[in-house]
Order: sequence, then C-alpha cells, then structure tokens
Amino acid sequence: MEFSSDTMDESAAIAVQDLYKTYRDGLIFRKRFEALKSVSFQVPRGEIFGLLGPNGAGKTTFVKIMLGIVRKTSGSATMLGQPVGDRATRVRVGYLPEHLRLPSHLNALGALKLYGKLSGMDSREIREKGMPLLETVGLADRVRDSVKKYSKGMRQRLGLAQSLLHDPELLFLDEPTDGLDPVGRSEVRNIIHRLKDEGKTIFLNSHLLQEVEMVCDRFAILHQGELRSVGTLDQISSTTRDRSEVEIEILGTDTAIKAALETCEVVASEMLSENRVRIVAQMSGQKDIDACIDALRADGLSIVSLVHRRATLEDAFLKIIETETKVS
Amino acid sequence: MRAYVAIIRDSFQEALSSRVLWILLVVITLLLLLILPSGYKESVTVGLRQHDVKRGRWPEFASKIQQESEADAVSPSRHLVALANEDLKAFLKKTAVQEKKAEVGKDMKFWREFDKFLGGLNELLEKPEFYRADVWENVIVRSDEARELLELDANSLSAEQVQRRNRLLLEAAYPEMLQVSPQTAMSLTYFGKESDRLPFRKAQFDAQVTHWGELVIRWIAGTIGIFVAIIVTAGMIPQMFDAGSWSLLLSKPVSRSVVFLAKFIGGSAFMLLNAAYFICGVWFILGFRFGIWDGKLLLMLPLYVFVFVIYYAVSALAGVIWRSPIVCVIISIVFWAACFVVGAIHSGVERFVYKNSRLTSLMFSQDTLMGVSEVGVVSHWDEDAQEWKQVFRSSTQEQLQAMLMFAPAEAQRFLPIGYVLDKQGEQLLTVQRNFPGLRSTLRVGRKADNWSNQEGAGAPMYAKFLLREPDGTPLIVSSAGLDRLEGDPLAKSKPVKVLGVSLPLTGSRPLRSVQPGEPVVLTDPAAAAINEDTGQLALYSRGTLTVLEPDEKHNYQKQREIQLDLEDADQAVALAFGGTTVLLAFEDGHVSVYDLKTAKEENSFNPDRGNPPRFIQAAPGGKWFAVVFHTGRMWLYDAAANEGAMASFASQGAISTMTFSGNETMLVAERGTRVKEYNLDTRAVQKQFAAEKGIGEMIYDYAVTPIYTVFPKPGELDRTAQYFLTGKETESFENMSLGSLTVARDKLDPWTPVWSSLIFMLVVLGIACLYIERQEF
Repeated sequence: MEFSSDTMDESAAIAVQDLYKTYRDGLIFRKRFEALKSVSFQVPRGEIFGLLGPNGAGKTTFVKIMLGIVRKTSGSATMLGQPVGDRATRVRVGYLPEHLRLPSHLNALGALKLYGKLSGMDSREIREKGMPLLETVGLADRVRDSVKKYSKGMRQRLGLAQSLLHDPELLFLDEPTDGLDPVGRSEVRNIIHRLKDEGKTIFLNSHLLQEVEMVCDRFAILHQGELRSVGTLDQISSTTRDRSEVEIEILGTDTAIKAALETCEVVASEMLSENRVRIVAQMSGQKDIDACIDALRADGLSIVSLVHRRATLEDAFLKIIETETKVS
Repeated sequence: MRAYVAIIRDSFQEALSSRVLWILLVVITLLLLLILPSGYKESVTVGLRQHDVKRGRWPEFASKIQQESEADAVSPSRHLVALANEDLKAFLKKTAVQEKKAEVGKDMKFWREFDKFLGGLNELLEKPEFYRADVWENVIVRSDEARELLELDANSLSAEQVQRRNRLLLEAAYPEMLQVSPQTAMSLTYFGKESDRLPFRKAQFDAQVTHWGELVIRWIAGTIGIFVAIIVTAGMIPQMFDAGSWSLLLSKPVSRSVVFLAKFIGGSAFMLLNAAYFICGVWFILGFRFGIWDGKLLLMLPLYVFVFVIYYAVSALAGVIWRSPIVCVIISIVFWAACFVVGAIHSGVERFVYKNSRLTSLMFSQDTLMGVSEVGVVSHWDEDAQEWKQVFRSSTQEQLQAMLMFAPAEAQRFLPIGYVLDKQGEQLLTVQRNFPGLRSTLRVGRKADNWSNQEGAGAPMYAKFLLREPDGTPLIVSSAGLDRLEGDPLAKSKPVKVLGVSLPLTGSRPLRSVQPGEPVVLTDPAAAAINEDTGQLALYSRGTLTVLEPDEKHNYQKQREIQLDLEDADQAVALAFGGTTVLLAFEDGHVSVYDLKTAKEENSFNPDRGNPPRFIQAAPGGKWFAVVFHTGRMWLYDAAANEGAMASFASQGAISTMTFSGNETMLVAERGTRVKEYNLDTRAVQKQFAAEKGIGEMIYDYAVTPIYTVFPKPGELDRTAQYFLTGKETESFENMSLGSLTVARDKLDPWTPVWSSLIFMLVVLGIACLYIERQEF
C-alpha cells in the first residue's frame, strides 16, 4: 500500500504525489471545479494497473495529465522518470483513447502510417511492424478497406494496433474492450498479458470491473477526485471487510442446525431438501470456523461441503463507493 | 518534422477523398471545355468598320468628303465622290447640308442611313481604280507598307493587296479622321465561327485576351472558388478537436500549435488543388488556342490561394474557439463582408471625395494661384481666408464631373483643353468642348469678375492644346493649325443669317491663324510645348518631333523636324521644352532627352519602373524639368548635369501635379489640395498653401485611413494580380489605353494588400496557436 507514500520512486512507470487539478470555467465569475485532490500513488514498471471510479471521478483527467493534454494545478507527477508534459517521453508511450475516432478517409495501413509518423517512426519501420500488428489484432484481411467501413470493434482493434506500433514502454488503454465481442475481449486480454510478459507497463482505465479484475495486478479507486484505495484485490478487499463469509452445506434438521450454530453469526440459510440445509455465516478467522465445525459435529450433524467465499473487485468497489456516498 | 509533414499529407489525402472536390473538378472541367473551342484568326486589314473613325466622328468625315469634293482641284474627296454610287452621293450631299445647319449628330437621321455610307465606302475600297497617281500625289503617305504597295505594279496586286492599299491611302488622306489600321486584324473564333474584326493589333489582342483570362480566373477562382472552398473546409479544423482524435494527436510527441498549423496548411490544399487545375487549364487554353504563353498568369495561383488562406485563417480561429463548422462559415462570411465594407468606404471616400478635390493642374502668376482638380473643378487660393475657393463653374463642367467619375473614357472627349493664366494673374482661359455637337468655345474667367465662367469666341473644332507664349498670349494648337489669341476672347462675332439660317464662324474672331506655310499635321498620339525663354514651339506627332519658331509677326515657321527612332509610336506621350532640351515622357514610363543642337537622343531614363507619367514641365531657363508619374512620384531632371533623380521630398508617392513658380522654385500639389513651394536647390519648403482640415477630411485621415490600414485587404489583391500581369503600378479605366497621359489612373499600390493581409493572417494564426497552447482539452 503506497496510498500515503511521501516519496516518489523515480524508476516507477508512473509516480504522482499530492496531485491536484482544478478546472476553471467562465470569463469573469470563474467557477472552480476540483477534478483531482491530493492524489498520490505509483505504478512500478512491468505492472498492469487498473484505474477505477464512477463517471466524473477524475480518471480521464488523470490520464490526460499524464499525457500532457491537460496541465496539473499542483503536486508532482512523473512518467517513465520524466516530468509529465515532457514531449520526448511521449515517444515511449502508447495511448488508446475512449471513443476513438480515426480519420475515415484512411485505410488500416494508412492510419498506422499516419500515427507511426506522429510517433517519430520512419516508413520502413512502419511497414515492417504494421502488418504483423494488424494480424495480431485480427485485421489482416481488411487492411485495404477504408476505416469508414469498419465496425466499432474493428476500429477499436485498429486503435489498439496504433497504440502498440511504436513499441511503447508504457501503454494507456481507455476502455480497450469497448465494442468488442467476447472473443475479441479474450484476444485483447491475451495481448495485454503478452505485453506484460515483454516487460511493458499497462495502465488500464475501464468500467468493466470483471475485465479489469481478470488482467490487472493492482488497482486504484478514484471517487470525486480523491484516491480511495490502491493495491492488489486482497489489499483493497481487506480495507472493506474485517470478516469473511463461509458457506456450509449440512445434513440435519433445521431445528438441530440452528441449535448447533447458536454461537455463530449466520447471515443466510436455505433449505435445499428435507434434512439438507445451506447456510452462510460470517467469521472472523480460522478459530471461528473450527468452533463452528466442532459445534456441528458435536451435535451429530454431517458437513457435506464448506466453501470459504472470496471477495470480488466489484464487491470492494461498490463497498467503497457506497460508503463514501453515504458519508457524503 | 516528419510528424508535421505527415499531418499535411494527411490533410491533402482528406481533401482528395472529399466528394465535393471531385464534383468541383468535374464542374471546372466543364468550364474549361466551354472555353476550349475559342480561338482567333489574323487577317489583312481591309475595308472600313464603324470603329475605324476616331471618336465616332463619321458625320464630320462624311461632311468633309462632300465639302472637299465641291472644290475645283483634284483631291481624294473629289475622286471618291466621282467613284461613288448614287446612294452614297446622295447621302454625302444630305450630310453636308445638315452639317452647315449644325444639325448633324443632333438626331438619329444620320445613323439610320449610316450603313449606306459605310457600304458605299467599302465598295469603293475594293475598286482597283481607287488609286490614280494624280489624285493621291499630294497626300503624305507615311506608312512604309503603303509605299511598298504603291511601288508594286498595280496590275500584279491581288484583290486583297488592292483593298489594303486603298485603305492605307484613305488613312493617309484623312489622318485626323481615320484610325491608323494595323497590317493585320484580329477576330475571335468559337467552334470555327468568326466574330467581327476587332480593333486590336496582335499585341493588343494578346493583352486583351490575357485580361479576359485574368477576369475569368478572378471571378471563378478568386470569388466563387474561394466561397466554395470556405464552406467545404469549414469543418476541417473543428473536426480536428473531436475528443477521440484530438486526444490521440496530443498524446504524440508533437507541438499542438504546429499540429494546428500543419492541419491549416493541409486544409488549404483543397483550394490549391482546385485553383491549380482551373488556372493551369485556362493557361493551357490561352497557350494552345491563342499562342499566349504568359507565365505571369500562373502567378494568380499563389495569389488566390493566399486570398483563400486569409479567410481560412479567420475560419480556423473560429474553429479553434467554437469548434463548429457553421460558426466557421458564418464568421468567414461576416469577415468577408467587413473587408468589403471597409474597402468600399475607403475607395468610396477616395474616389468620390478625395479624388474630386485632388489637384492635377496648377497655375501661378504674380500672386494668383489656381488649381484644377481631377474632375475639372477650378479653385482659387484665397490668401486672406487661407483656403481654396471653387471658381469658374459652368453647367458643362458640372455635367463633366459626374461623367468623369462613372465614364471617364467618354468624358475625355469633353474635357477642357488646358488652362492658361495670363502673366498678370488676372485672366483664366480655356477651350471647352460643349454638349452636344462638340463645338469648341473659349471660356474666360477674370479676377475682376470673381473668376466667373463666361463663354467667349468660338475656337477651332479640333483644338488639342492650349499653350502660353512667353509674353502671355494664349496659343491654340489644333490638328488643323495654330491660332493665336490676339483680341478680346469675349468678343463674339454675331452669326450672319442667310435666308433665316444662321451661319456660324463668320465675321471677325479674336483668334489669328499663325501656322507655317507648310502645315504641320498632328495625328495622335500628339503633344506640344512652348519654350518659356525662346518662344519656340515643339510639336510631337506619332514619332515626329517638329520645332517651330515665331517670326517678328508671331507667325510660326518650321525650324527643324526630327524623326524619332521609336519601337512603338502608338503610345501616348508628354512633352516639355526648355533651353535646347526637349524631354519626352512616354506611356511605357521611359523618358527621352533630346538636344536640339545635335537633334539626337542624349539620354534615356526609366525613372519609375515603367509606370506611366502624368505631367511634365520645364522650368524657365531650361535647367530643371519635372516629370510627375501616376504613382504620385516626381522625378527631376537637371539638364545642365544631364542627370535625373526622384526628388527627395517626404511627400513622394502623394504628388499629383506641380508647376515651376520661378527659375529655382516650384509648387507641388501633395495629398489632395496641399500645395508647397520648394526651393529646387535646397529642397526646403518656402511656403505652404493648405486649408485647415474639414470634418470630412479629418474623418478620412484619422478614422477611415487607420482602420483601412490595419484591416486586411483580400479583395484588393486583384490589384496585385493586375500588377503581376501588366508590371504597372497604376491602371487606366477598364484597362484601356486612352491615348492621353492626363487621364486619371487608379494607383494599384500592389504590395500594400499583400503586406496588410499577411500581417493580419499571421496575427490571427498567432492568436489561434496561443489559444490552443493555453486551452485544456
């Protein structure tokens, strides 16, 4: 947990500390809007990092600050060891924006040529890398087609190809699986994993929490411009729960089971058949589980199965957002 | 750099992929196909056409033939009438009677039967017997072509040669009536169909065709093309800011300002492609169909792309701020309208207010200073009130003022022929052609009568110049001779009535003919000047310089005649005479210095880069000569040193006329009505004649001019185009050569719109770049 880290690691792919961004609107009576408030975290190189948050949380502002599209108000932020906004550093960065719009008068190769040149590549390099990349994203058979004939998913694949063309060290992907079918999503996940294997750092921005959970090593949750949590799934979950849930299937009468579990905190029970009941109980640790099993066995009840329920990212996310909303 | 080139190339590709572009290319192709069948035909000039008689003076021509035929001596007119058919004979007789009654030209009778006259004359011109040696022996034939034809055996001439010879003989017999015809005449063809013969030589024809080509380009590429391009490209910059594409662009290692500028340049590709296709197409058609391979026409391409770029810069700034194509179009149109309004106000004030009062002629005697404005308004400097007062007004003059503004070419026929102020500064004299009928009269204004304009005696019909002899006596030079005013100009002879019919020009007149025994024929282009010290008269007439000297009775005798070796004897000329030096300033801008002692060209200058002169004068003593050009610049020639230089005055570029007020002083009219007296040696201002500025002048100077100066002038880049094509910094009305150097020409000022528009465009693009750099997207 580097949530409150005071020092910035220069070797990190992304390092921000006490980052603030305030938008001002209007000419005379300028309204202030704080999009980011004292955000601090680091993303080590070679990690897949997911930034989560509801709409308006400040995710896009954060990415734009990193890419130099928007200027920070205060605080410090570095990308690949260089201050954000440094133009030369952007050669080492790939970006797939949300709602990508590619020039409709180009075909796939033409688009790669344009964005490759914008990233400082020469024509030969673009030719050598372009075609294999289009094969990777599944567009090899449509390279000569005009972009305007592409479906949303195909454009997203082409967008991913352009972000990878110049072999960036750090990749910002904003909703990368948007518009893709399940096969396409799986392919994108594979590409992301392969990039991680190659040592690239991937910064993922997505609403699809299950997708993010499947690929990311660590996460950060932003809410109303403030960083609420940073860490692995377990670390985040542990901040939202102090007790875990255990699901037990028991053979016995309902009355006997209730009597045996009198000391346990049962949160739900379900009659599966006569003399067969499934209960969900909250327990603080292994001691509680052992005591529960001992009580059931002592009353002669049989335990068919016992499952220790694992917390999901969605649970943790919703818990954090819910709590914050209630507090506010 | 590679990145920005990629953006420019992408914008080109975007333009090429636009459907509108291809539609426009098809439309342009159709337009080019429409003009492709046009061409020209060159044939030998034979016969007479309506425009062959100068200034439409057909009735006078007919009358002259008839009157001369009634004399006993053998003459071309007598011969023509003898050969004429009965219709023509009857027509000529009728016209002569009407001429005597001064009725010719008053109604349409003459023109209703004009075809009979023209047809009859053309019939004569086809006849081999038109030439008979004894008839034409007294006619001075100057044309080498005519002499060559006359030397050939008449029987060996082809029908075309006969017609050509006859036409040349007719021109030689009536030089004051007939235009000199080029050897060959041009006519336009379209799909092989031939137009009527055009009054141009090949070079003039080429100039006209190039001018039409320029007009076509101006209207189609410069107006319609730019408008369409503004609409089509309006979306390009706003589109760039679409969140999904602009963020991606900005994430690349590129400068956002340079991305914008690259996109801007790329957007201009649309105009470039269309304009290049159209202008090159017109250029090729002019080359292949008319043989005019004028590379200057291709300069219109960068020029009109530049015009578009100015509007596009405004559209792009609107696109950066509002990111809406519709707003871009609206702002561009508003800007277009603003440019038009500012330009119109400025040129309106310039044309109708400033130009009206701008002095183009100054007269100074004793303490009297008078000036004549561009539109013929005469003013007198009131020393007590320190202001110019309009004097010498007449109804003819007022009619002329309006005419000069809207139809300057036509108005030339009615302009007064010079103004002469007597030595005492007491009497102003001019020769005025009157409406209708073109009868000329002397007009007199006297200081004692508060310079009121009074009609005086009749003046010679073909008066060309009014000069002042050293003793102050006015001398009228006409194509018919020289007349000296020796009596009271207001002493009008009473018309004698015979059987109720008034016979004008009878009785005594204040004018006395002082022409030499051997008459000097003045054919256009002509010029005349008197030597202030010796009283000698120099006359220039189509390549011939004649010097005449007055004898003790003030009759002029021919002293010498010099044939000038000129490349183009058709161009208008201005003449000044001082000491033994004659200065000739030609329409093509070159100034020739002739010394009468050697009768040779001593020196030649091109002081104002080929721009036409407007006015020339020699100082008393003959040391100094001044040439004022239509560009407002004045060149001084020192005859003693045989050197010339642009005068070092702060007002160079705003000078409209001048006059020498002494051997070492001159009065210079600058910026309208301001007149300064300069010392010629020190160039110091000795005296000023300038009224206090009125409200109108102040508004013009302190409001209109500053706004106009800082505002871009895309509409005026047409003037730059005109300059590219002609190489001249001034332009005559409708691009016509009027045969006179005094006719007002518009100063093109070709580089001002370029600079002001360029600076404006850079400022607009700078603001757009600043906005993009500071804006958070």
